[in-house]
Amino acid sequence: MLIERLTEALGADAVKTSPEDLACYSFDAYSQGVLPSAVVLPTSAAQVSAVVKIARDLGEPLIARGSGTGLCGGATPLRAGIVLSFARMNQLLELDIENRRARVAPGLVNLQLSERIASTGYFYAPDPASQRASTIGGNIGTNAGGPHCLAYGTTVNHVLALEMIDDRGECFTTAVDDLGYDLTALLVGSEGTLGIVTSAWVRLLRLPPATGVWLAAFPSIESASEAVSAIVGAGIVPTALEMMDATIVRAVESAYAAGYPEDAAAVLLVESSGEPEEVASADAAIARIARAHGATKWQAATSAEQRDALWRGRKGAAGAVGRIAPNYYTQDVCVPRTRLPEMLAAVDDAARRHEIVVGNVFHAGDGNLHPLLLYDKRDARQVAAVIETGNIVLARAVELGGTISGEHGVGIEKRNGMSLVYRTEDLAAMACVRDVFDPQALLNPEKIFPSGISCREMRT
Amino acid sequence: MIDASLYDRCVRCGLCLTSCPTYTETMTETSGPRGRISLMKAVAEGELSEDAPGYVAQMSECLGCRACEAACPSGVPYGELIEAARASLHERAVANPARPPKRGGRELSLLLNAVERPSWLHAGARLLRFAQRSGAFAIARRIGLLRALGLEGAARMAPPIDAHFEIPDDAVLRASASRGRAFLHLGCIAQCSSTGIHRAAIKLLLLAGLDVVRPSEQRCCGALAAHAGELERARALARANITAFERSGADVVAIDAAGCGAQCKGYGHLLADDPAWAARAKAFSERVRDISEILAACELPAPSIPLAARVAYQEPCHLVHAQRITNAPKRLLATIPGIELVPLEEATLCCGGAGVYAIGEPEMSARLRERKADAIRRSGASVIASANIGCMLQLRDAIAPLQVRHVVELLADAYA
Amino acid sequence: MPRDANVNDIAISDALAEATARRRSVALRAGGVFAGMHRSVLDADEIDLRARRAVLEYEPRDLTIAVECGATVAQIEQLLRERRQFLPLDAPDAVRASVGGVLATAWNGPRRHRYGRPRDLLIGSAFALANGTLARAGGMVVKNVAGYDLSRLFVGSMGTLAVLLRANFKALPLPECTRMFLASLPAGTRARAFAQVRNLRPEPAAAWWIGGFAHEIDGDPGDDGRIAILMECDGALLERATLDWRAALGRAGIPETRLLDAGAHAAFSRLLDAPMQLPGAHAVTYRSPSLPSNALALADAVAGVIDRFELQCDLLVDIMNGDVTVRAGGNAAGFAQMIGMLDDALHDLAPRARILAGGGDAHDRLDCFGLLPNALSRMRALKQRFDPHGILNPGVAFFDGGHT
Repeated sequence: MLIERLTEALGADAVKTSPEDLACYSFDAYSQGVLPSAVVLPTSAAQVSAVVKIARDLGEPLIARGSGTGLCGGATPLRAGIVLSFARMNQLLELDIENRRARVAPGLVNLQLSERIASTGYFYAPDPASQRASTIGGNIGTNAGGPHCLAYGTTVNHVLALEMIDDRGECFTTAVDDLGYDLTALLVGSEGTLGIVTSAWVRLLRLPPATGVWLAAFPSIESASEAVSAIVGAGIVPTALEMMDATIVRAVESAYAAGYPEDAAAVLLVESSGEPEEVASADAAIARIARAHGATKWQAATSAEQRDALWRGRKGAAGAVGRIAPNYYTQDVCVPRTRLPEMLAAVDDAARRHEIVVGNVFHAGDGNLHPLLLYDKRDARQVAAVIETGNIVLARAVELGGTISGEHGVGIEKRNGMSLVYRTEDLAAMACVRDVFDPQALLNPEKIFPSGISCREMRT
Repeated sequence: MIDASLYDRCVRCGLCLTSCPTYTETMTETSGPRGRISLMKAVAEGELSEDAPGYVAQMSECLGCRACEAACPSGVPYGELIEAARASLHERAVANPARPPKRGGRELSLLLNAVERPSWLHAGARLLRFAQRSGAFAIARRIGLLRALGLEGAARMAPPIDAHFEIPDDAVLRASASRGRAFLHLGCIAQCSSTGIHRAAIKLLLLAGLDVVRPSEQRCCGALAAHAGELERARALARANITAFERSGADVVAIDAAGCGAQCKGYGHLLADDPAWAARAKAFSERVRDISEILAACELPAPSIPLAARVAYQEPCHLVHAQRITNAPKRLLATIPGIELVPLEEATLCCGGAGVYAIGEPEMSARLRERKADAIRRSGASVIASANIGCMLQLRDAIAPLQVRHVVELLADAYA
Repeated sequence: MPRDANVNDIAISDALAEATARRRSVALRAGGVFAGMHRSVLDADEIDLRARRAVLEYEPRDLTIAVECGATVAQIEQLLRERRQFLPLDAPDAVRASVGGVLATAWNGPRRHRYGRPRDLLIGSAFALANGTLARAGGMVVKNVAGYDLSRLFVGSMGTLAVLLRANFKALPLPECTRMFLASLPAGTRARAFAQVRNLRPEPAAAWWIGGFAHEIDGDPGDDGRIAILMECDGALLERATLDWRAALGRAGIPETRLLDAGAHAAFSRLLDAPMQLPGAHAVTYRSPSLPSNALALADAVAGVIDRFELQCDLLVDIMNGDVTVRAGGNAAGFAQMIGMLDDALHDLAPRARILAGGGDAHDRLDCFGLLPNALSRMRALKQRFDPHGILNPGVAFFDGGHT
């Protein structure tokens, strides 16, 4: 019944039901879930609406999926349902350079937008490390960040308007200039639980005339994180301020030979963009601070190739760790910037106590850490140690005034962690929003909320 | 069976997806590297039958272009994975002849036999040249003979045969001031078709101060056999080439076809489990260079004859992805006076040639060929430069009247 | 009670719980700067938030600040300035305007293309729901994707969804230099000036075209109006950028530009304040968002309508963001009758125009909001869920169904 109706609405080529196809959509970059009932590849908002109506009739959950690069299990099916892949809705629908905006279909790959408009002198700023494959729709679902959101902000700061399909298959739109509640901001980052994006207007920024990229090497991770605090505290906001420890640098160099110094305990990758004078001032000021904090090296990337190589190494860092350990678990927490040294010490301490190796590669300027916990999944002790260490990291981040996810999202991974940051009342308020938008919980069910949280606590 | 240590390196990050030509065409996870690896894992771990139609279809649909391997941050050796998966499927087919034959199997088998034996190859090529020039193909197609023989696809794919073949011989071609000796690998099809590429390569190698040898003992590189999962055949060919090289006294193996170059660079891996040959194969592979690598590293004199054309460079998969060579050919082209290099969209996406891919997957091959042809037409180029005969044959008709030429042909023309 | 709840929070929580229990309406108020932007709340117990103006957390090295929502914009500006930081809320009448007012009305300033809207700088909040529940969202970190962004949901809520108690912001480093460029436009130069200003490098922090507002904004109105452009940049860039800007304006046919350095801040404030100022009781000011490419045409069309009614017209066009602000003024005779027709005519041209300020209870008598949002039914459903008895700022807007 389900398959017949989907096929009638979308055509046979857009409905996948073979066991092999279902298997390929049963996971994302975080987790292995169950086989969905069907996978559909719609090509229009009307088709998305039709799929939602069919799913609603038959009580099938709906899981929206971009490229499945998410790191929290947001696109993993947990109880069958229909996976809605937006891969074929990948057009740049309108380009309005005069007003610095573009309308995109949700399946458009993040980097492809910037590449396609590069000749106009504009770009799309949010740049998650997955940008080569991840879609703008997926980025909207998780409010994706990236190294450059230090200066430019995260996805929510770049979405101007949304066209959505709701849980009943009806279309509605929101825009940042709309009167009333800021639904646009609410929907960005809602992980496909409040509605399904079918197109979005996004902001475009002018490409900066000058960009400088520098490397600073430090004798310890503490001195590097002190330098980060000092840079931000001095009123300098580079466009990116990234840190890598020695473990990560070794992995990156083995994968990319990007040019990072392998003898440093920590490396900062700093980028500043703007007018040439501004870039020069940033160079001088940041170099001074880095040296004052013990930097043993301050080196500029002198060519576009060098710059690209450094960035390629940084953006591929997590994957490159696959070369030095059979498995790794990427944690994602964010703390106030001044608490970075304490947070890093806590990570190090937890890893030591549990006898696992940790690599740190993260958006230091934002206080957004990504400890990569290395392990071998065939070793039960190591698996347990990684889980335990991950939990300690979450708890410590919250104690330091931080949060359990800076940019990857909650999904399946951090449902239980939500209770560390929020009290029942806070979560119930969120659950009420969910209940208004999707009372039957058809949209990406069993994500975000820890079990036992419902809107009922709020009733008066 | 595929070793778990190969597929377990895949962390399912998905960064490979957009590099994959078949994913880009179908936009389905199943037709992408991450999906295929997950299916290989499912088969290896007994969760999916190796005969599952979706699995068999995907192992065939993969072009083996290895673009995903270049994109992979975790270093998943995808080329090895697909080779092992196909080898296992091939063994299964051999052990069970009652199974329905693979699509295009008859043509492929004929072709593999031909390329292994120079005498067959040359005889076949002469016959083919006659058929092409006399119109015999057209007649045979009309009366349904080709279909009856199961050769329709092969006839469509057949390369144009040159009047004069480039046949290996044991003479040494001397450079005026010799700095070393290059072993020029002549390949299989390229001995009889597009022989201007070899002539250009020889001219440039001599200009670069390298003596050139083309020993008659050399054989096909074995890529076609390896891609079909017939690893033993590929190993036999590899041993022949290694022996020929060792006896030639050459310092370097020069290869002007990217597909052959990638295969020859992989002999060390191919023969790693053969104690008698492992070290020799490794030593051989370390000496293999694409012609562009050799020329870009040499002090060639400045070319003098201008080329007033807009040229776009189509990057062969087995050069850019398998060998990670992208700058050398472009640098060589840029030395030609008057040339205008124009960018090509998706320049590193496979053209659908992929060796004998079109025999088994004619539809996908055609889709990718048309996609590439469209990009070429949008580029405004009048000449397409390539570095692999397979790509050149795939694109030739699709982009006419635009020309497709090898980098070394364009460069050699710029020297008097 | 949450660990950071203070006496004030608990008092408000109790008041709300009691109001809900007794079905008594509650009206929230602070500085009153934005009172002309929504309808009046009738027959309700007032909760005055002006006493709640404490700075709760400020760690300059983190570039984050948390304040109570009754804190004034000027108060925060001054505190941040001491540490060479700022929060570009761009509120009018900053001495009276509260942070809560800025957020409740979704006030958007002229520097938003450069630094983001107030909601973009908002990283967390604490709030009291209608039943008295105290809750929080977000936090003191600049990146946070743990759960729904309820803090931003409340932006634009006009106090109808919850009582915002605390707002956490990310602050920005104060630009080293601020310079205001003022110029009168010779006849026929306006369109070119717009094009040049939009493409200036470095990008202006704010830029206006001004037609009228002679009393509120200093300077000589040229034949084609005047422009004011704010430069905020690094010291090393200031003089070169000034030369470049002047050259660009020269290409637009503007021969002279006056520069203000010491006076730049005051001039900027006057430009922020102007839209909320009324020359007398017989005036009303609207603001309409528009695409920057359409802003000039919209401004001209609007001016044409006001001319037809023979009213005084003052215009302020935000060149970078496209907002068109228009003030129509007249004398007592006939204004009251005319304004209803003018309101209709303006909304025909600019359906999204909303009233910023108006004499004679314009916000209650006229179409205060313009075009209602497409997602109105969802907003009403949220309102119904969060405040089922409709006690929070009833009738202030369209969320409780009172306005159509």
